[in-house]
Amino acid sequence: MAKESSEERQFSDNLDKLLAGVGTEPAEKMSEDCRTAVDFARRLTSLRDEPSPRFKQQTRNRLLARLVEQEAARQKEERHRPWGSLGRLLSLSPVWRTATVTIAVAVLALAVIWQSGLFNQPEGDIARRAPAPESAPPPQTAAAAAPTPAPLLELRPLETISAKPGEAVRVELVFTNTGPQSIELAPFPPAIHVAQSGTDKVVRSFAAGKARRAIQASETVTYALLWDQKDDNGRQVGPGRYFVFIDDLVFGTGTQPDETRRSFGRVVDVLIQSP
Amino acid sequence: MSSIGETKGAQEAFAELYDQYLDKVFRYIKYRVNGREVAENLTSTVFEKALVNFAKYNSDRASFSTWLFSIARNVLVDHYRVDGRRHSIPLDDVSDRPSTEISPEEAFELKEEAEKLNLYLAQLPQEEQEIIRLKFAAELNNRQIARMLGLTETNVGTKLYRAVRKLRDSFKEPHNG
Repeated sequence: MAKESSEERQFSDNLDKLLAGVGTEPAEKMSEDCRTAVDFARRLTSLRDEPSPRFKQQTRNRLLARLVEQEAARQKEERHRPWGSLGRLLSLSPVWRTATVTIAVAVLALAVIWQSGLFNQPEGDIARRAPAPESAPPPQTAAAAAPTPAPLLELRPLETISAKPGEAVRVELVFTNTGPQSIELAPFPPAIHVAQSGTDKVVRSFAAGKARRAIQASETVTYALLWDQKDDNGRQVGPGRYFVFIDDLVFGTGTQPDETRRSFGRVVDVLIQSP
Repeated sequence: MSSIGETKGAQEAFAELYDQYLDKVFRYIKYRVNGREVAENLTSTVFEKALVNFAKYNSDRASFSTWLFSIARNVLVDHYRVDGRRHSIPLDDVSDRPSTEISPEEAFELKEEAEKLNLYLAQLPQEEQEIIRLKFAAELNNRQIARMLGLTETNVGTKLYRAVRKLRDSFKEPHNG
């Protein structure tokens, strides 16, 4: 099973190299089955068809002309928007400007007064706004009647880390349980991957752990990953932009441990500087 | 959120992406339709749709290739719906390839091989066919294919390897097809 999986990976890696026009691994490093599959893939690539240069050029010209038209139409539309008219009106004369601003302020003041309820708050309404009496049903009863909310988990918004080549990159994954009940992440840490921006090619994968991690409601848990800037083959990656993602994070409540699966497409950006 | 339209001159950015992806989109479509002209028309439609929606493209949500090939797939679905045609063996195209540095014998061999490929490809399960097209024509990586087809990356690797070996074995068998 493991042999098959490694062979599949070796085949995929070699195929990607082949398609990128880079040399594949030496034949002796591959099994017979994998080598012949790579050879056949090479044959398949030679059968691919290409569009004619004439078609390429004509379509390019037509599309770019259309892009220019589209851009002109967009600018024209912007000029005719209501806010655009208002802007022009304001810039016409000081009288118009004063009148418009006065009306706007008056409308705003009326809206605030109306919102405060000064004009239309009957006694019944006041009673309705008062705190609930103690005889009201306890919150647990209401919660029991409502469906159990799905567990919620958020990750800290995307941030960018800049690092010099070869410098270990500390990536912090900050999980926050934003739901009302405690949740459990399993496995913890989840499998984490580093991919190259633009191509989305995964350069390094960190296997999932075997532990489970409970996170209480509103609690935040930080997991720090140290990436040595090496790819899965132990080679230093080139300078450029990379991103860290989590493909399959499983979490749930105590009673239903595996009820939610989520992917976090782009958790942290890592910029490896040029030497 | 960042859109390409905001960060680069739209024309320049679009031209760059067009040059990078035209061949791939054409090849992807060519695997699925009969004839060069139809493939060129549909390729053109894909880029027109991409152009119209270009300002809405958000690079944080999907890579450009994933976004573009989703459009290509939709264009093909529409084509089949309207046209009622299914992918069939293109007979007219290998001989009029733009790269004309091949002899008539070589052209004939290529044509025969392309016909065989289409025949054997059509015998694979739909999902494996699509993986082959997205890999060999669109040149997407396994992760991008996984996203498009709702599979895991490992699953794509497994299916891809299996599909290529099946095709290889079909080519080996002299009496197949």
